[in-house]
Amino acid sequence: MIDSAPLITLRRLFGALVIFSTLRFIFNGWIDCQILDPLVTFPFEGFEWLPRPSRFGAYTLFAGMLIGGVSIMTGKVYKVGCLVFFLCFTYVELLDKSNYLNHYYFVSLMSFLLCFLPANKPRLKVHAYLLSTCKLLIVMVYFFAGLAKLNGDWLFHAQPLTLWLPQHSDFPLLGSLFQYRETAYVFSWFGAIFDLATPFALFSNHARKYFYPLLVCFHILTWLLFPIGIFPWVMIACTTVFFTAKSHRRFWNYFKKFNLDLPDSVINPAEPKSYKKVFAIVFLTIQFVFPVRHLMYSGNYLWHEAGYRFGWRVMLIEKSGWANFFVIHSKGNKQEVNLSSWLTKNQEKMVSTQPDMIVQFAHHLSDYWRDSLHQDIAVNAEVWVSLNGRRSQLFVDPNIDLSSINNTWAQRSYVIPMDSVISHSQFQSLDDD
Amino acid sequence: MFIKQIPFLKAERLTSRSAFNVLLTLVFSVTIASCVPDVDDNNSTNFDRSELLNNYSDNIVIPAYEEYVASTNNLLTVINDFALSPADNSKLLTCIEQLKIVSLKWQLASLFDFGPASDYALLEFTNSYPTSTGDIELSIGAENWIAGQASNIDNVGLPALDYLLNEEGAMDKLNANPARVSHLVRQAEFLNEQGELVLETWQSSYQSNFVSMTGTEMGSSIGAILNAFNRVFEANIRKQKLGLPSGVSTFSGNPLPGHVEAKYANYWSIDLLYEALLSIEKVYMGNSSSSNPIDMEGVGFDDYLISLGDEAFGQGLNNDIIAQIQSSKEAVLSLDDPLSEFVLTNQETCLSVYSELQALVVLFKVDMMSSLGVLITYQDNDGD
Repeated sequence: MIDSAPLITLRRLFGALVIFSTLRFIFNGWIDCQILDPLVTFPFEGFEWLPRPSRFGAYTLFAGMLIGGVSIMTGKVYKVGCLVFFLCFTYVELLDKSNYLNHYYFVSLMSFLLCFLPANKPRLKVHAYLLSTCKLLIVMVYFFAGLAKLNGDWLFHAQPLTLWLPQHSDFPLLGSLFQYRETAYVFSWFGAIFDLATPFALFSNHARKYFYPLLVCFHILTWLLFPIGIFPWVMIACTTVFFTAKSHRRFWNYFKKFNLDLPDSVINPAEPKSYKKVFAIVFLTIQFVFPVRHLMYSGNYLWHEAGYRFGWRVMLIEKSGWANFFVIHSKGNKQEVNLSSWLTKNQEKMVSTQPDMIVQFAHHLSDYWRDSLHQDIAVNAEVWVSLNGRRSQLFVDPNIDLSSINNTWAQRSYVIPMDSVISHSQFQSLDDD
Repeated sequence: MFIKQIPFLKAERLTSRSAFNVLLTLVFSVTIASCVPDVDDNNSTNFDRSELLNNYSDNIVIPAYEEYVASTNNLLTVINDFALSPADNSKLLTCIEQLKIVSLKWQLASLFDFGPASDYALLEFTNSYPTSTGDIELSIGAENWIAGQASNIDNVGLPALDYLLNEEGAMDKLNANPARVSHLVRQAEFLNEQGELVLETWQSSYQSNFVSMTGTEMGSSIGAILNAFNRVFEANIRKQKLGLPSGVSTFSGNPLPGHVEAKYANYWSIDLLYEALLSIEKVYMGNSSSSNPIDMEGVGFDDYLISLGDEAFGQGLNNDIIAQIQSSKEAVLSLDDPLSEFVLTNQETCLSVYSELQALVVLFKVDMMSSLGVLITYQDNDGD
């Protein structure tokens, strides 16, 4: 049994942030350009059945997020609000892979978890296992992010930071350092150590108060340097749950309107039913196993990206690509596809570097030709990708019919392994065969 | 709770605190150690982006627009002159010659499709082809012709002038119909106005704006010029000038001879494509416009690339790009005018030249862009 004050802070800050994030999304015009405008979408496997919302539907979903966010922040009609927010937010996330961000996934998980936390009753004590589940979910982000940084590109080539940092040479104070390759190494190693140390530092009662300011600085620096949206603020807010209930109450007492006086009478909740604990364990186990599923696949997962998403891999790769799709007609002639007439700029960028989206797009093409033009076609693609400072390489087998492939859990054999370097001249002779 | 308050943990608490201090000290000293020495080694990527931007704006973009506008001014003059005596065949020939000069000058100017050029849709209004001859014929009779609307895009600009001046029997048609001559004048005026507007905007306000946005994010000057460069090369040069006529996008795979650039002049298409490649080379190298008093090698993407990259990604990539530009130019010279006939008789050759240009797209769009670290983001991004 412990005091629920940390959870109250968590829901207040989290609620405020998701309201801000939802409003930012709306006022940036992203409902149109990410949800309504695209001609085709790239839903996550298993969620293709989710209908694409109409304009009314999309605004309803965002209204749901706002109402849910207010209810999370204020604690009024709290559980229903959490559930509404979780469902609306996750629905939108599942519509199109090209908008996937790690922190959106985190927001989904956190709002799901909040549905089960009694974070709206200052007088109620909560069971320790609930708070622990919450803490583990948070440190997991750092732990896996740190683990993912233990790779050759990050540690020994300081990539992608070597590519990114020199662009910030006009950054105040630190700017002049960014032109040195050593700076990228320092940032890389510091980042990896920081991420891996965070779970331990946050759980340690003594290190925490020294570590937290460092954590805030770290996140603010990443926010200033990289276009990562609200992610730093979400983490700064969520990591406050590690502080003691006393500090939380002291903090809120600075604000008269929001203070959390120690309750006169404390209500102890009933002993939790054991299935609830089992549920928490199952939830955490999934969260710990899912991010390491990339171990099932051979080859460099930064390249083929099998098992890459939902794994807390943040700022890990600089990948750029160029894709040229061809429709092969039954008579054998090749017709080049104009990507920009099919895809938004952002989708075009994602399709050019992510194998499963290449396959999905090939299916869109073959569906269109079959259903609208009554033609059976095959789809080939010439895709060139550069990863973390390597020269561009051919990405997928240019002779394979991509529309005959289905995205499954299997190894992506249509992706050409990295460093089997095929030069342009070799490619052209390959093409002639 | 995971850390319980048990007395014997006290010793451990001390350790965790000191371990943390050690960590901090370590990180701090590594930072200091790595920043103090090697200031002058070649790992430094000290590159003055404002010098690059100044070179582009003052020595390349503005001179390119100046030359282009000077040529459209001349075109307007000779067309006005022709309008006074439309029976004079030599004056028509002067107009045609000048139109070719304008079309050649346009190739360099077309690469800067951002800022003012994109605000005024210069690229679309100047060189969208195939032109709609039906619309041109309709507007010849129109008393009040307002150009510059979305519906005009396919009946104005260089392709419209090409049609009016170079079509079969142009001389007789112009001679017979004064309205046709005055429409020719209106077209030349519009072409000239559009160029002037863009040039004036660059000179009066955009230039200072351009050189001050030294960042590399989306919307910075480097991001803008690079994105336009890549897009125009991929879509307007590679695809439009060669790919579409060669039939890369047709259902049947058959060539589309009607899609060549300057199709009524018939013998300009390859010259224009070659000039476009020369312009691409010039802009990549940051070299100033050729008719400048001094034709100089300025700070360009090549220098930026070399300063940022390592052996393979910097100098090596630059070498490959230069080599690929050369082989693209040579390949283009293997084509013969009129391109509209050549695509029919030698489609295979056209497609192989096309794939040379394609290889250059990859080097620019994938290797160069990721080497320069210009983040192309359209929304939030966490590096996935």
